[in-house]
Amino acid sequence: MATPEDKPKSHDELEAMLSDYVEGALSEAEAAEVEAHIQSCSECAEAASELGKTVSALASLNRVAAPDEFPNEVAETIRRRSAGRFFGKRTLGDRVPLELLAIVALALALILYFLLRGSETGSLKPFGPEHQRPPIPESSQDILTP
Amino acid sequence: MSLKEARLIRRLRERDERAFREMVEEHRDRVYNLTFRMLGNREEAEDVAQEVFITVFKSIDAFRGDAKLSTWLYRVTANHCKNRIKYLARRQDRNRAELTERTELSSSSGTSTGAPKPSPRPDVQLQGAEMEQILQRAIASLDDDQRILVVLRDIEELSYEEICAITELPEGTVKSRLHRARMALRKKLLKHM
Repeated sequence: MATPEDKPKSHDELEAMLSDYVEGALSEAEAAEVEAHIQSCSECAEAASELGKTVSALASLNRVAAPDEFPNEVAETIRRRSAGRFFGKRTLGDRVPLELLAIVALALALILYFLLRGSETGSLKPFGPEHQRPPIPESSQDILTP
Repeated sequence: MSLKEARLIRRLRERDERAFREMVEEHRDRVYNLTFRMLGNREEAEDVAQEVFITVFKSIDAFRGDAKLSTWLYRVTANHCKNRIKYLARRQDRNRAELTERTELSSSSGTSTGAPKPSPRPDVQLQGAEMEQILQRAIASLDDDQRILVVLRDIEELSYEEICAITELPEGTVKSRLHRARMALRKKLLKHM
């Protein structure tokens, strides 16, 4: 007993499968069915050929790029329409790239390190009259001397 | 959805401007190409593409994350394009015939991002540009529902699965509608092939 799958397809049904046929999206059995039909139907043979050319032509269309200023224009439009309220509060990290901040912080740390390392006082304060260690008073006792 | 995309969406919900710019940079050409191919006009395409990103950013909280961000963007773009086409069709001084007449040569503007087609001879190059115009005009002659499918499948080369997610149509409907669109295009392009 013939199943619905065994029943031969009508011309319209096969013609409706031409797009899938051109894309190679049919099963082997279905593709064979369409090919057999194309052999005997010049209308569908022509349609299949032209469909293939149409799909190829469409695929050859270059993708059109958005203008370079597009992201800025969109951001400006949002800002203008929302009176600057739409985007979240801009932190320092939004205004200045975080990478740059990291480099500056590292450079400052290195400078500080070399300054401290080269310092005679072990601090950033240089020797000077106002910074000399006060003399030990003679009256003070050495706590280690009995 | 990838972890990177989930993170981006979280930042977008926090109204992070940098996240917004990242999203625009990543998807700008995809959105613009769809709007241009749907509307056939650079000015309209740019205007609608802007509105798409504004809509996406404003309604990011409504994005459930059950699809890729690109799928959602395409869906919003398709809806905006259809609305714009209806709006333009209603305008007395800008009917659809004029819209197909005003299609531009995208390749002549020097902003194509596709791989350049090898055309050493001037006459061959002209044929390429002329063919693009003919194709664009043919696409513009389709109704919106057919046009979007041709652009998504045959130009953007999306899978049927993704097209179904974007258009919210069953695969059978997508395929039959696409087939009718291609058959219509084939007739218009016959004499040029």
